[in-house]
Parts: sequence; structure tokens; C-alpha cells
Amino acid sequence: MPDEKEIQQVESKTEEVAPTPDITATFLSSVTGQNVNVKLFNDFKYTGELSSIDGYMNVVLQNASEIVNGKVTNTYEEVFLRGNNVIYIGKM
Amino acid sequence: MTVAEPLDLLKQNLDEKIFVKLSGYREMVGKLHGYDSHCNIVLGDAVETIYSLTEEEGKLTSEQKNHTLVFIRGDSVILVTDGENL
Repeated sequence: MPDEKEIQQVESKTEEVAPTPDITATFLSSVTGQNVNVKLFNDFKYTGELSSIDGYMNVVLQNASEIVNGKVTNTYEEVFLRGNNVIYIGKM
Repeated sequence: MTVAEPLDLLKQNLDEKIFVKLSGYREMVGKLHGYDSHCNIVLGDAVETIYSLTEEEGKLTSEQKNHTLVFIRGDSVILVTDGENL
């Protein structure tokens, strides 16, 4: 029979684990409307205002700059990036 | 018009000229006839540009192809934007 202490430990552990998946979802919804960096697998980086995002990490940026090797190579008023190419989305 | 979800950008551009960047150093510009949730795209009067480096000098060259109607499989799509002011 597990004593009361053990049960409390187990309970507190599950409480610690719970916020992890939640914070990722919270992050993604909290960054809409903010300036973000989006890094893609092809080594391109896009910075701009995040106007929307979905569960696939498909992203739409407004007033975006395309940055390759630290240089701005293109600008877009509005651009859609397909989620499978995304490595990360970072708040500026 | 605000974009509620990312694919709404494609909806806004239906029957408009769009620019699509694809994997394999390819780009496509054409009129958006249709799309789906995989980003499968059908373009009319499209111009495909294929970039490559020459073997000897490593110079960037490009080659163009015209398509009257073309279906692009969604998994090769990297980027979509308005094709009018490029």
C-alpha cells in the first residue's frame, strides 16, 4: 500500500507536467499580432507581424522581410508560409 | 479583411495572380483557380522558374516553362504571396 506521502508526490508530479503542453498552445495564440521571427528548414528567415497561425504551424505574416545569410533579400506585404517548413517561431 | 486562419490568405487571392515558392529551387506565378487544406494548388497561365547553378562556375542560372493549367502538390509548397507586385 502506498502511504499518503507517496500519493501526494505522484499528484504533485502530474500537476507539474500539465502546464507543458498548455504553454505551447498559449504561446502560439499570444504571439498573434506581434512581431516574430520564423525560421524555415531551407535556412530562410522571415520577420514580420504574425497575423494568423493554425495547428499545422501554417503562418501568415504581414510586412514581412525575407532574410538569407543576414541580408534582406525580399519584402512581402502579406505572405503565407506552409507549416511543415517551420523550425521555430520566436517573439522579437 | 483580416485573416482568421492562414489558409484564408489563399481564399482572398482566388482568381488573382499569386507567387508560389516551391522546394527544388522552383517558383511559380499564375492565376489561382483553386486550393485545398494540403495547399494543393491549381494555377492557370502559370510561369515556372527553375533556378540552378552551373557545374563549372557555380553561376546562378534560371530556366522558364509555361503551363496553361497546372496542379501543384501541396507538400512542395514553401511560401505563397500576392503575385501582382513582384
